[in-house]
Amino acid sequence: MRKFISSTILASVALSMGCSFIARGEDQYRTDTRALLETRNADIRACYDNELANNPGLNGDVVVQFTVEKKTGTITNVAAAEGSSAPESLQTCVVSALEGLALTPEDRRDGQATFTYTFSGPAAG
Amino acid sequence: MHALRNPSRAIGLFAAGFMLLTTTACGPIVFSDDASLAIVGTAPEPEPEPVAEPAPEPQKRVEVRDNKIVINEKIQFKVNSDKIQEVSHDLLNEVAKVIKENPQIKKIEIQGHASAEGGDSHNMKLSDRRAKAVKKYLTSKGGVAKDHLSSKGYGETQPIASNDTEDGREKNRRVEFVITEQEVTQTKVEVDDAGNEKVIEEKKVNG
Repeated sequence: MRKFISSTILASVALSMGCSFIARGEDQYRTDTRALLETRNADIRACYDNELANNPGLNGDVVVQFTVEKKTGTITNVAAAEGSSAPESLQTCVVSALEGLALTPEDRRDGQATFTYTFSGPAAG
Repeated sequence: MHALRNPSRAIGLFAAGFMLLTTTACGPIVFSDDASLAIVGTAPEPEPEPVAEPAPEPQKRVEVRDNKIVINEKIQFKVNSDKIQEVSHDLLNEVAKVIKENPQIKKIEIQGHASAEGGDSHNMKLSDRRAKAVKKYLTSKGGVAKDHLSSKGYGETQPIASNDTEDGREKNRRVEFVITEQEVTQTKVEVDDAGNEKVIEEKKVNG
């Protein structure tokens, strides 16, 4: 019995060391990830502007889903998801623009994120 | 409470609970943002206005070229007469203006020419009278100094086109302004090794 208790405690300690309780809460995770995504807004606007050049008046959404890898913070498996109404070329460009991002400080848990980009044309002036 | 009486069991339960908690805390967190990331496009650069080719300069009616004042329009006379038609007054006013704007031009001979139509003598006289009429207009109406101008009729002796066609004959009926004397500035320059030019002599000569 003592052996069982010892090993259980050891396992718990080991796990707790591998997974700190300073892990972000959902809101914080969302906020930090959003801030991370916003660092690529210029690239994503460039994607949109390219599309606008060929298709003035184009509007639409791109829903992106991805994983924020725990420990490394790297954004992986970025993909355009259901609900995207923008042309495929814009979806592809957005997905490419988000590649290589990494959340710092990294979290102790994976994040399964869904964000939506809404594209709207320049205000008529 | 029963477990608390047994310390070993309590510790076991605590450890199991702790493990469960940490395992749960390590699971992925799923989140989505209801507020979309708004991307507003940039208005595409307007297509540059096509640069309009500069309109070709309209051909001047009167031009000074080497030893001639060329008129790109004909002076119209009444048929078989030396009377200048009113439609040509404006052209002659322009000739007078050009002469006055070019003080280097000292002497001009106004030459009257005719086509081969009609007798030689008649054509000679008519072309001479027409040249005189132009001279008179330029001095009296155009304000050109008399001593700048002379006039002479050449009749049909100097055709510039065939007299076999009406088109050619029309070309041969004409008035020309030949510069017989003008002041030319001669400049001597010296070019040094660096390619710089230096005027060493400048003089005006009559050409």
